Amino acid sequence: MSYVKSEHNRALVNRFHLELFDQGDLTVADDTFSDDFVAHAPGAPVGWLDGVEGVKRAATALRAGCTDIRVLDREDTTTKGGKVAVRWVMTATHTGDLFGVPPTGRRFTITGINVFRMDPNGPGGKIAELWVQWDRVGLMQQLGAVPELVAAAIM
Amino acid sequence: MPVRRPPIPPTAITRRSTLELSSPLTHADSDYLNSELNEVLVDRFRTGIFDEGDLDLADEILSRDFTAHIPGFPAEWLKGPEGIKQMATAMRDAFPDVGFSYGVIFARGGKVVLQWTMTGTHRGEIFGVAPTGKFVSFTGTDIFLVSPTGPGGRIAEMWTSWDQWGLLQQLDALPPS
Repeated sequence: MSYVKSEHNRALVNRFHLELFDQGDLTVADDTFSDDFVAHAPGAPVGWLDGVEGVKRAATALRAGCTDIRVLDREDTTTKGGKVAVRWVMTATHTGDLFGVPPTGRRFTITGINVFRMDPNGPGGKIAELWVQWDRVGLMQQLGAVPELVAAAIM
Repeated sequence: MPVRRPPIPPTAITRRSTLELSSPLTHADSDYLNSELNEVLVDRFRTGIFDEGDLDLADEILSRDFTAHIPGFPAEWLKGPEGIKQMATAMRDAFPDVGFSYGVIFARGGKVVLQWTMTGTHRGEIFGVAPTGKFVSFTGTDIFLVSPTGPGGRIAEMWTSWDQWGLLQQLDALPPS
């Protein structure tokens, strides 16, 4: 029944953010995601983020595009049943190709909200589904990669 | 070119006001942790103010010092009931047929987590983009915090993360992925 235990789920999500993205330990994905994991991320190609391999692919792509990654979960992480909602803040330095933008050396900060659903059948309750929303416009603005006309009009 | 994944409804039941909308608007002081009442408040926010354009609801369901945290929106839209009225007016001017469908992911302890899909036809300027006549559909996630401010529970704070990039792509203001 650990899939509904808030502390278990909070710790799982924190491991995902901290160890996988900050520290680049890809084996964490094996421990924290179910095999049939599905992600919903606007703009991501269909299936690109799915499964344990998809999570590793995303972490690898992010870590190829930037260094000194810090993902902080806000303190108001909310859980109920097998679900977790997290507001996060990520800072990193843009040192490689990131979403098609060549390295700028810039330090950036972006925010997002992740909602996780835990697998009730897995051993110990792994992450089964994830909805990601994040501020891609804000990232591209900080990298100077938004077309001028749009950049002038949006905040 | 990668295929855009269509918006997928959340696993929670997608509802448009299955909750009784004639129920009392404000909570008793002790009710601000009542998840069902909080879902009603949040439904009034998305369905009442944004879908139906009932701007007066903002004064009834938001605390006077209400604050929204939404990347990509002008600061004046984020403060108090007046800010939300400006935000809703701007969205409804840009997308007169605006529609929100949403699912409550969960409500607990004064918080309500919501995933939504907004659709509409682009008939007015928004984010510097002149009307294109295009039909758009994009997604976002809200976290609402209800507090016992004023005469009963009202929405005191909200955080939204949404697919502004996808919207601007659909308006041809940004290149496709």
